Amino acid sequence: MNFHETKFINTVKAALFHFPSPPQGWANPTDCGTFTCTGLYNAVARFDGTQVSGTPLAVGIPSSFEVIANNIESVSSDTIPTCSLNNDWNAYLCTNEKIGVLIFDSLDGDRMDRSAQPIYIRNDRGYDNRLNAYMDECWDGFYTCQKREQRFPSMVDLDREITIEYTGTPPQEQKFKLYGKASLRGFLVTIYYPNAGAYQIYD
Amino acid sequence: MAGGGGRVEVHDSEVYGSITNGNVDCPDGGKCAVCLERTGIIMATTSAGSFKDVEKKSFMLPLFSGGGAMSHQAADYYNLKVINWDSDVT
Repeated sequence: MNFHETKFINTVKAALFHFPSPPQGWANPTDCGTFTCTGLYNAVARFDGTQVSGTPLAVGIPSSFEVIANNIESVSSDTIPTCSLNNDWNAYLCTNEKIGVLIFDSLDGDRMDRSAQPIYIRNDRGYDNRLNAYMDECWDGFYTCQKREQRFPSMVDLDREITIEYTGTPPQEQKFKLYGKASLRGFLVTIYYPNAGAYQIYD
Repeated sequence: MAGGGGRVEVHDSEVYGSITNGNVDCPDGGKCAVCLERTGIIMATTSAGSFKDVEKKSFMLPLFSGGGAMSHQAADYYNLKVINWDSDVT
């Protein structure tokens, strides 16, 4: 999410944002499995050209900044330089344009049926982000469908190379998409595969 | 917004918090000027879509729903005004 030329008028700083954590109640066999779904832990909002005015005044809000979720189940947000936790928001305020969201999808035929999670995204700053698949969000009679989308959004530090480690067999075909500031240079993504093979990459 | 992918732009919008000059929609003598619900912006409100031949679960939306940018979608808000959010509680 990108916010351009936002004006906060007569707005107290504590009321600017709230990034809820995913409920622990989602960690059950019919929703997210053994740990809660992690999409909410990987949310990023980027602001530029921001202005604050009036009374009350949101003191300490810079013109350009990022707000990222407080991922309390992984080592992630707190490894990003310049980020500081705001308890009122349950989120981190950052002045670091090198923050993005990497989303990757399985494109295999069994993308709703076979699980590769948990998936671990790591870098050399100690970032160690555990990802879960999407929630089983449908009912089939009295039971959930046992179908969970193999799509993984991850907040990433674009200033570091990352590794992706699947705990299940990685998909044969995947789609990667990176959301971040367009002018930044690329970064290296290394994927651990359990077998030797050749993979093609298309832009 | 942009279900199934794509990008959304929102221009020139205003989001109001507390009412500071009374509720002009309230009838004379009414008691409707207090405890108004307010939500603000629910970012990333699109879902990943439902499956065929099944019934979708329903649950309350959090502020940051599990969709939007997380579903290969993005949104850009331009010239958003956030006005009179003078407290972090309703």
